[in-house]
Amino acid sequence: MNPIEHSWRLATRRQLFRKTGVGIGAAALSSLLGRDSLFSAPETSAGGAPRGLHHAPKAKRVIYLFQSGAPSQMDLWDYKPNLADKRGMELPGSIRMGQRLTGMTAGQSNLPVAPSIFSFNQHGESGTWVSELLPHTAGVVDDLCLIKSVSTHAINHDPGITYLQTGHELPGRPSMGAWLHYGLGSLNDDLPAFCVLISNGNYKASQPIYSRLWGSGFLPSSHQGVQLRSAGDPVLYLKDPAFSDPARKRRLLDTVASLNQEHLEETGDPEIETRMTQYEMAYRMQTSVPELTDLGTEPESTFERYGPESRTPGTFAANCLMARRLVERDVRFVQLYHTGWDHHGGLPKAIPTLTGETDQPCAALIQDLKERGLLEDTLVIWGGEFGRTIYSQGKLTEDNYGRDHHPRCFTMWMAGGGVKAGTSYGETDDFCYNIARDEVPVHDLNATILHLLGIDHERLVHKFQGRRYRLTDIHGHVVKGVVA
Amino acid sequence: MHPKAPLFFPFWILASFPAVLPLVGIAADDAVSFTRDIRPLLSDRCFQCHGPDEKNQKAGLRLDTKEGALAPLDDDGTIFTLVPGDLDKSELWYRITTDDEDDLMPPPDQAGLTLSADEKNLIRRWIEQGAEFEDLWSFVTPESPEPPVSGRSQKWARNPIDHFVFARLESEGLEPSPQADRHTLIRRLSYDLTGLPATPEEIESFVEDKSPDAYEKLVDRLLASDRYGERMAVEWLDAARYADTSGYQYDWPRTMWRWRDWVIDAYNDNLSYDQFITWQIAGDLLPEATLAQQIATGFNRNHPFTIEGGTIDEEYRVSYVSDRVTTMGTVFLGMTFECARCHDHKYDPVSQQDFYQLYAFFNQVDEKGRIGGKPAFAPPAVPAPTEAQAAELAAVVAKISSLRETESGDEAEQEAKQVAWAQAIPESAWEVVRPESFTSEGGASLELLEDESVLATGKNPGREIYTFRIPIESAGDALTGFRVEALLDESMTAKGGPGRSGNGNAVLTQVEASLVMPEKAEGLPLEIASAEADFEQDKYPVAHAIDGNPKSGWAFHASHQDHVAAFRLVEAAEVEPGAMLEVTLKFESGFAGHQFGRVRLAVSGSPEPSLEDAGSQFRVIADKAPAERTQEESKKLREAFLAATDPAWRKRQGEIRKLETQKAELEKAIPMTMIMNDAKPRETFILDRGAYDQQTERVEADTPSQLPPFPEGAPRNRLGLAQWLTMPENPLTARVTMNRTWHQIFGAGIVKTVNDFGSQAELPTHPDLLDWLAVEFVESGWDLKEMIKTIVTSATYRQQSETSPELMDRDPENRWLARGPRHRLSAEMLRDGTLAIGGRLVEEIGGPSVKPYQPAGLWKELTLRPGFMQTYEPDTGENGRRRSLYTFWKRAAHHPMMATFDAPNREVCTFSRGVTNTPLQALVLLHDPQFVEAARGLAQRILTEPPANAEDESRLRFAFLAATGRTPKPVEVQALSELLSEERDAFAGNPAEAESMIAIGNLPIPEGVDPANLAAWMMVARALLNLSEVVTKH
Repeated sequence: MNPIEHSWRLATRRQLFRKTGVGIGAAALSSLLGRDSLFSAPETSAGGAPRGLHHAPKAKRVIYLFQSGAPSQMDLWDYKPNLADKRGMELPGSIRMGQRLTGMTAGQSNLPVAPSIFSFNQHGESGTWVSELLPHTAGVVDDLCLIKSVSTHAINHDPGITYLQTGHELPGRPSMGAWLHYGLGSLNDDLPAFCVLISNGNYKASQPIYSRLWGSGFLPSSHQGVQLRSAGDPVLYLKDPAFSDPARKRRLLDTVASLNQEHLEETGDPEIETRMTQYEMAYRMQTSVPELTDLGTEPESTFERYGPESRTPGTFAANCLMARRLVERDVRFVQLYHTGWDHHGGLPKAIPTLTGETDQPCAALIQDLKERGLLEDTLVIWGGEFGRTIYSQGKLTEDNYGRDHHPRCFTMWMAGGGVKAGTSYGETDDFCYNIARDEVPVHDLNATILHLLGIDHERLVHKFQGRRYRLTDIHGHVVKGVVA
Repeated sequence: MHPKAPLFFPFWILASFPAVLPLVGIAADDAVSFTRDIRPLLSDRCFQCHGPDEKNQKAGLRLDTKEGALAPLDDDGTIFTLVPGDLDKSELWYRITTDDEDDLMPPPDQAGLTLSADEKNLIRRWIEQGAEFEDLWSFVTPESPEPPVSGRSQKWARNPIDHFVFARLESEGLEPSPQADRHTLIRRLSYDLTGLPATPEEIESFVEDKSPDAYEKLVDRLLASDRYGERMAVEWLDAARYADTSGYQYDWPRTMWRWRDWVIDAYNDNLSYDQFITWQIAGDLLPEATLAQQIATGFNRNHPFTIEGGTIDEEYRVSYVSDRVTTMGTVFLGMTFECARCHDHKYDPVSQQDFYQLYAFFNQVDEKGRIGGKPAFAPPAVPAPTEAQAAELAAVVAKISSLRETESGDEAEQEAKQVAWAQAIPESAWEVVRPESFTSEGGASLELLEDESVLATGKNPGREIYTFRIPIESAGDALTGFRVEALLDESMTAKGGPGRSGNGNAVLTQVEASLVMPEKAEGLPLEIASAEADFEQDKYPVAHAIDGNPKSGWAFHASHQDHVAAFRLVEAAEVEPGAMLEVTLKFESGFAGHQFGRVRLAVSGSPEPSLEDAGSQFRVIADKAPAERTQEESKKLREAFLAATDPAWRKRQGEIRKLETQKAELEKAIPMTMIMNDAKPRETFILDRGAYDQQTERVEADTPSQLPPFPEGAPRNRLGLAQWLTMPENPLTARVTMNRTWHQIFGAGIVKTVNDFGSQAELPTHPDLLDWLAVEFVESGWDLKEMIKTIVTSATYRQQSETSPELMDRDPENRWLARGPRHRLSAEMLRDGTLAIGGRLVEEIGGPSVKPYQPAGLWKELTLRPGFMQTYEPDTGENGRRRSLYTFWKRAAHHPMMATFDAPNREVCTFSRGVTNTPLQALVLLHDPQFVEAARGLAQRILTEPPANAEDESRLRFAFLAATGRTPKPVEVQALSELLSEERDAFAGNPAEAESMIAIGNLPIPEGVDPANLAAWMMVARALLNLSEVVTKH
């Protein structure tokens, strides 16, 4: 006899599953309902203090403005006035320090320093230096916390973006939004808790993206992001393909519900009850989603603020406006993707197109959230998967240069939800190549984001194949310097 | 430190630590079991810092082995972690119970590691009872246990499985559920064994079958169905991360469906499971490996590969090899090897060295990390024709070789004839011919000169086309080529030409030839095979005169010399009496006036119509004695001779050429499939932290040291590895496979963590049953069908799946099996079942993947980059309605219906899919056009299949049976009748809505049907297809 068999037989049968069984059943059920787990109790207790998972959260919602392709930090945020007289100089070996290069510049015979050709000015009370490319964002710079010292390991897009968003370079792990949905549950009863919006467009340099970035990895698939689309049904299969009369839909659902109820009573299968609840949520979504995506109720001033493109569905501007409408409705995690920042060549001509598409909407979103009182408990994050090189990829000329991928330093910003507004954190060296002070590795960044949401990143764990997994793997420290 | 308030210990943490949970109820007076009670606890809470990882045994303590745990902790030998029977002397006991936060273990700041009072109590009793250790159960080779037969179990049991299950139920004080009714059983069996529901006819015939072996006959019928292989393949495709794209950034399409079809065939043929493993791990290394055996090795090539520019090749190659080790470990051994890529395993006795020793088996492939371009496969790969393709190709090849067989005549006579023929070949192959007529489209004046050349004078147009007609009796009975001379003439402006342009050059852009028959209006076009010229200007080769491009052409600079070009025909043209050769010369380059000024034509019937002396090579061969000729020479002479003298031979050659073209086309259509090879031997090193460029110690191929040794005499390659995996001493392979099979049928394994049999795994609920199944499996000759038959014919399987509050309380997950299996259908079964119920399913095994409807734009919005955009073009015909395992699987965006119902994206090996229940699923079932169209199909069946005079109620009963597999209760009939009549009224009042409802999808609307009635029935069908019962296997 197998020793375990032996031990099972010795074990008395009492309650082997009784206590735990209820726990599992309740957990399974609650995770299937709209609101679950950590905020299942009222958000504000009798004493008025908000409750979170591990400590009081500073933010309840997140808007992540992902800039895929990797924006150039030295042309936008990381001002290097001292580099002007080093134009064309070979990047010193003492600075490069053996940093591996991508296959795109590894064979290049020289690495000439290419200072930004864009001018910088100080803005706001904080006096933060901002590139001329970002006139609107410069106007809200006192609400931002710039992190100039983010670093990563990856030097190619796929592992880079996967690392930033799942904490691991290779596929298979849950995305940040899925972790948060899993840990925090939903704040509302009739919209998905984790929504994804992708800018449309047709940029030559666009890097593809992939659903794993909002996937649930080894977590249940109910935690994966739901794409809100600008063409067709905003949520896949939302509309009845034949008719829109709510009474007709109701009749169909009521018939299904009455037969399901009959079957539930006969079989006692609690999954039937859950399914009935989900059909009701699906029914509500058929009202709540069109109401969400109908911009007809927005005043003219909204479109003026977000810019003319905000009238065109699927643009970054329209998606920023949609993000505001989503957090207004208490959607937990809103993930935007804008692509096209991969400027290996012709950067001075190409980057204004990208900033033209994104600058005003970003600023508008911050102002809009602020005016509505949403910024204080909504965390807004902006950034790409890595930085770009100070040396030119391809030929450096008077008015042209390109930049390759650079993992050692890049700039991101956060705003709202408990971050130190009007500050810059971290510094890079004179060549914007290495970090001079206060490095923020990806795991630290993610630990900090979780911290702001009331989560101890070491304690949001899921056991899979015997191992406890975290968004931050076995790393990560909260960056206190960016927390207000 | 933080006290752990229950408030901060949410449900999901409970739900995710099942291994430790059953401990809660162990009574105080029971003996403590190391395997059941202690190892899971030590593993989960302590091994991370005091386990098998040699580099991370804090304080020098290793708790996973007896030696480690009993060794002194200090140099003096005074402090011991464990002193069996003595709590006070056991440091472990002090450490887990002290109030001193600095000493307390596990460290209080580590999430989820804190020991509860019950758990500490267990450890106390274990130490008091002597702190016994046991080997990890799953690493001990199973021995066949005797089924625990009892008087009571015999009354219920149908086979040995049931005795094991009954014994467990009895010890739990539970009773098995009654057997399910026949309607339920046939539906359950049909889904489990074929992935499709039973039809009303099949249900009826089973329900009516009174023979004692009716059930066994049903099982045999289903197992013999080809649908069985399609159903079984699905989970294997998940496990093997099979997809139709290559993943990573660009996720470009690939062809691996021949491997998928191999899997289906292997299940249908019931290939013994040890061979199923061996072929996939090492089919290429089997003696005289067949194509199927090579295709099978695609298992290890199903992982994604990258085409992203700038990627460092070795970084990705290393990740592919690691993926193979990890996947093999998961699917065959239930081990989580991934951890050991970077460091010794934290929980299981698998070292980093073990990982790289396994890695060495898969590190010999001639492959790259970054694959350039837009490849449909990455080498190594082989052409993998389907049976039909192979047969068609073989038929063509056979035809070709039968045509090639030369008739055996009298060889001496043949030799004499060909020598005579060769010696008679004139020195020049060319005979200058006089054209009977000639025209200039450009309007030049043409005149025939003495030497048979034609001179152009007068108008020199921008573009020109000359056409000549030449009688050619003189070329013999076969025309093989013609020659065009561009000759000088003083009349031309620039030093006599030979072109009419200002500088004497010309560009011949196109040459065409045809045979004109005296009685026929249409000439017979002659295909030109090749051209040669005495001189070619750079970038103006004579080949440009026959390339079909009207702009490009042959030129020769302003050389002021005669020039000549010869054109050889593809096939020797049979020349009938009176036939004329028509030659057209076009000069349309756009260079004005660049045409020939004086043209002379010649024809040839020579086997070698070349500019050089064509006959000499044959004369040279013919002069040698036959024995002195090389094989190539003999062939050349014979073929030239036959071509010149034997019309029948020439005809055969024409046929052969056509067949060769056909063969080339067939070969082009044959899919390439990726395979394994050992063509690039590499040394293997341990990689520090798994990083591709951090090589440390060199290792050789070997299996993990804590498992039974590599079989003696087995080759140190993948074939040896396969032998090791399938040897009877291997404690894991058969257990893992049987557990997974159990999981496929019951929805949960006997070991719930189907991919993990290590020390963090959940313990088996029925360990003896698992061992019995594993041993039985090996002894059956790894006969999977036989084992599945044993499982589904058990009384355990045949139980009702209804539950009760008591059972939900006692055993919510049905781990003790006091009832039959009940869970939501998989994405594939759900869609296939719905299509089948709607009469829409198209059954055809295998072939390239297909594209059912999906909302437009889903692929495009992910990839905007020109040249890499992929548009999903749905199959509108039958391919849109094939079984779901044939749906094109794009890893970056797999079909949204499948994704919504928990199908993984297949970037990595997955076995246990989640089973979620979400509002998005409701939207799919309600609104996905595939499902609405299936409802239309069902509505049509409702109207056409029952007798014409059937009442609504009997039609409803038919529909209900088709959808649920059972007859409805009165209350159900009533609810649906009400819906039907209300919808009839509604649609009658709004015909446009009825029209738009029935127009969804592309199912033709039958003639003479009342749209309102069809639409109303469609609503009934939609209601049925959304029932919880219909989407659940129960």
